[in-house]
Amino acid sequence: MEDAMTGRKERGIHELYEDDPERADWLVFGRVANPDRRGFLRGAGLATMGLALGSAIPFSRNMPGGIIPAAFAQTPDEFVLQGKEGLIIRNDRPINLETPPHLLDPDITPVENFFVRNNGLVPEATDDPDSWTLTIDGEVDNEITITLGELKNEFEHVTMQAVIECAGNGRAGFYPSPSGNQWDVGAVSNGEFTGVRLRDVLQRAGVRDTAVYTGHYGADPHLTMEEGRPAISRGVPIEKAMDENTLLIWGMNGGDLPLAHGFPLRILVPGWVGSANQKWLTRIWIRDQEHDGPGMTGLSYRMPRYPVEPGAEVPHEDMEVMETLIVKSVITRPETNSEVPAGEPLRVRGHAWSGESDVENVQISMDYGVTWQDTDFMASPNKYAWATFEADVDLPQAGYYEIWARATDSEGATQPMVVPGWNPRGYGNNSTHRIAVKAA
Amino acid sequence: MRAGVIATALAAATVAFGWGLTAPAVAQQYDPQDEWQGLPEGKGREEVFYNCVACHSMGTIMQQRLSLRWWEITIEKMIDDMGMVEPPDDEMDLILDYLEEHFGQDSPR
Repeated sequence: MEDAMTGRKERGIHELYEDDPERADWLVFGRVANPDRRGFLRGAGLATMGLALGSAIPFSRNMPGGIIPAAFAQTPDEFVLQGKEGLIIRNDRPINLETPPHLLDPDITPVENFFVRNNGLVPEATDDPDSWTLTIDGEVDNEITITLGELKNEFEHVTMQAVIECAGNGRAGFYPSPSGNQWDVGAVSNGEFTGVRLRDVLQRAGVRDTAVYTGHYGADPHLTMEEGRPAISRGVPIEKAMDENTLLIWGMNGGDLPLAHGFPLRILVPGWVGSANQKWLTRIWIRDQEHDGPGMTGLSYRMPRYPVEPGAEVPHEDMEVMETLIVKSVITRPETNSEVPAGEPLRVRGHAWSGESDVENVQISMDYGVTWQDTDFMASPNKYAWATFEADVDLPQAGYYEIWARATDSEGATQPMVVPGWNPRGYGNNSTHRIAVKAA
Repeated sequence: MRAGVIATALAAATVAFGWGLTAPAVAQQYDPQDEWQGLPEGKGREEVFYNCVACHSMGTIMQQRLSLRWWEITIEKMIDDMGMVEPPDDEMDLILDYLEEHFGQDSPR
């Protein structure tokens, strides 16, 4: 596909690995061909590939580097790189894929278009998901280890839609440029998720009065492949963990969670920054203090406690943990840079969301923000899902137009038309989304 | 180390300015298929590639546009937190000079 902003050809991620399967091994499994070029699965790579296949690999030393096991080709849903065509590859080790806005048009983002943000490598795909275990320990009366099968059988099921958005979505808009994935507007998607309430499971473990915070752990290997080192481990205050909408999920859009999105088990903390939703979930450690795993300290997923000048070096102790998403919208129709007929009404569509608040309206402007018009606004099907807006606009004469959208939430917060406050890692850019159309 | 790096960068900038050289007008793009994954040719490219590729792709680097100071902070983090083996001073200077020249705060995107 072509990136509308740069005019640059983007290649589908699967296409890349068809061209260079040795590289695909390294990217996904950390598997490095040995010097005799006969192939050797190093460390975690061997275990990961074996588990993904559901069995050990005899003769692994003889397995040529760069051969993607045929089994993957036959089970596309279990192979993370398949079915992700059309996304912008921000990075591929770790895998970080952005959705172009026009592919966010459906109310529920299809799996193949759902953005992907990983901090580490993709872990094993188990062939026995019901035996996957989750341990809950720390400030609980009874430490429990429960299988996914037991979660499915013993607790009430809940299905809900929710927006997942990377805290750094929009980072590319900041100057000076903060480090991190240079997301434009598409590190966000809306899915329909199925699981059980975390609080029901926590109640079985018996949360003590001393509980303050959760610490989430997953099975994804760290980029260094250091054994037992978490790629990321974030958490939320115990009150949010006990909220009825915080779930342990195994289902997405009517099927199993795909591997790229945390198969077989993920925590869903709706309305909060994406990294709270730990993928490949194996453990929730109930803490008696704010969690301090990787991604909870320093500059990562944290904002300055006070406004800072662009480029400032903020002492780490002056940073505080990010919690909720903020009001934002994206225009999904028409695709930017479309050519449309002049003198005919143009249908504009998009979505809007806000963390713990509800979106109350979305307005659009065709004249660079001088005037704004209301849109037909359909409330979201449940709290934490995005809402959809539509409007017909008139393009009175041929020429270049920009369409801007701004959402306002129930707290009265609205999107700024310029990039909001700079911060060291470039979080929280919810400035107005703009697209271009040429009327002819 | 920092003073040395800045001195080197200043020297490099002075030389470049004196010769009327400017940064390339078009940014080089991350290219997974390329031998160097798209890293532009230049002094320090090998050092950057081999010090970083063990853990992540060049896409991680090539997205960034950081000041020399922020590149220093980033590499310090790689050494302190991410298991990067600290390169000798002369190699570190090459790495930082390369990053600042090609992926500096105002390098073209």
